[in-house]
Amino acid sequence: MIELTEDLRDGFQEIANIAIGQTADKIARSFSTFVKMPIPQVHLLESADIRMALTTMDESANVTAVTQAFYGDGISGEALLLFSEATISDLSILMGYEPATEGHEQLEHMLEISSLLSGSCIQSVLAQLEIEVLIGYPVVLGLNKNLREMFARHAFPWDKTLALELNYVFEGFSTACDLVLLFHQQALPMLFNKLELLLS
Amino acid sequence: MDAEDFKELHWLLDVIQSSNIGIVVLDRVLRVEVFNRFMQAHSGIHSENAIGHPIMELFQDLPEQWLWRRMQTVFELGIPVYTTWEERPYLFRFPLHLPIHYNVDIMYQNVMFVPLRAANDKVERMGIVVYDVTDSAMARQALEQAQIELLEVSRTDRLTNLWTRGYWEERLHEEWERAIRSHQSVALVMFDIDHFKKINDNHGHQTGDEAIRLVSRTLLDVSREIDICGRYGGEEFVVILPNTDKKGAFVFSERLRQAIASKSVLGPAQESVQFTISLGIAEFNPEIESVHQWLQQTDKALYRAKSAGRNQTQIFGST
Repeated sequence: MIELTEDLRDGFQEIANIAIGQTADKIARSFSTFVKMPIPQVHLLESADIRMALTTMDESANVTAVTQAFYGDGISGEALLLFSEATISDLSILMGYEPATEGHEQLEHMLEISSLLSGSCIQSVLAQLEIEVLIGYPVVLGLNKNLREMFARHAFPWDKTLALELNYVFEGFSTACDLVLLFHQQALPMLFNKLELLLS
Repeated sequence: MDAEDFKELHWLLDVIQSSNIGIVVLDRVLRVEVFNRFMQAHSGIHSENAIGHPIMELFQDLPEQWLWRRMQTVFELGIPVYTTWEERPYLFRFPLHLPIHYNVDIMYQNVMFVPLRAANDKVERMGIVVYDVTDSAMARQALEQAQIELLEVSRTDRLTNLWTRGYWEERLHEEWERAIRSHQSVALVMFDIDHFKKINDNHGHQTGDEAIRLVSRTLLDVSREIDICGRYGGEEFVVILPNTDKKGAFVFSERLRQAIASKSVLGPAQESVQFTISLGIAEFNPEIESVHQWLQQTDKALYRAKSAGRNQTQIFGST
């Protein structure tokens, strides 16, 4: 029986906090842009409803989603990064580039910041749990599409998924993006174990 | 080795560790010497527990014979060997739990076996390089599925779900050639709806379409899996009956004729519209010179059924 106790939840929240801090630091150094520190949300999703985790996103709004797989010591998971439509055009400016005019340029900028936002967070979360991690390539799941449509063809076979949700807000920009780290059921016993070791 | 060399070795090792490809080095008796992080992450086996152990012990479902043969090629001939996911979906059974990425739960792999030479130029070790190609395998399979669906659509008649003329004519040529080679019997049936124009004129074209649908459904019901049921055009149909002589074709035709005569469709005023069909049969025989001639004979039999009063079956050549 997999259960997310209060202690475990607090533990994950703390780990996520540190991960955000480290990521924000990297962003500040790379792009001279400051990230407002969000309070991470930790959910153990009971049902197959992944959309529950994406509470800050309007389900009917169009988003661009980038996903990245990660593996380590028998643990695997997927990061999901969601940009709202307005964010995309701001990204290049935020990164200190000339505003992207061409589609592929915009895509390149988006993938660059995605690698940083999700890659750094994954690395930090798993490093704190002393798990050596390998991160896959970022993959664009959908460009400016409805979130519901994007997942319409996906089957989510798991019963339980641990979702760490982080909402990035960039200082001086009205835009934000959402990062969700998903650890699927098979990874949970090992993950909880590692955290318990760390907490004790 | 000086300090510079050592540094270089260190970052070379780092590349091996952090690559998104699997790297395993085996000695001549297939004991593990190198087991990189990719292998560790996907197998759940820590490299400390892998090194020094026979690979067969760590992965018990490896195809042993197959692996030995590859190994021999690499060690004896000193040349690399490859295997792709199309021949063998994977070498190492690595589960994938990434439902956002893939709708499969196993990693597809391309694998390369490379000879590793010692300073004396002898091959003393074998490297196994594992590429995760689940992405391309999925893309290829999706493409193939789409092609199959497209082909199906282009071969199927929209109104009736029967084969289109282009497709059944193709199959008729195949069956004709097969009959010449194999001397097995095959019969061709052609039929149409009697007084179809009257149904259209008296009850509207939609009722006509309904009649065509009813005939198609009934045809699919009474035919076998191997029979090729197609639409010739308008209210005309053809059926190719493999492994069937004219007697068998006659039984089939009569069953179809009676089934349709016992049914009806509804007209625009909810009136019941009954109708019949006439059928012609020609069995293949070696004197038939072409598919065209075979179709002509079938058509002649159908014409005879029409002129003899409709709602009946006639066989070409019998009087």
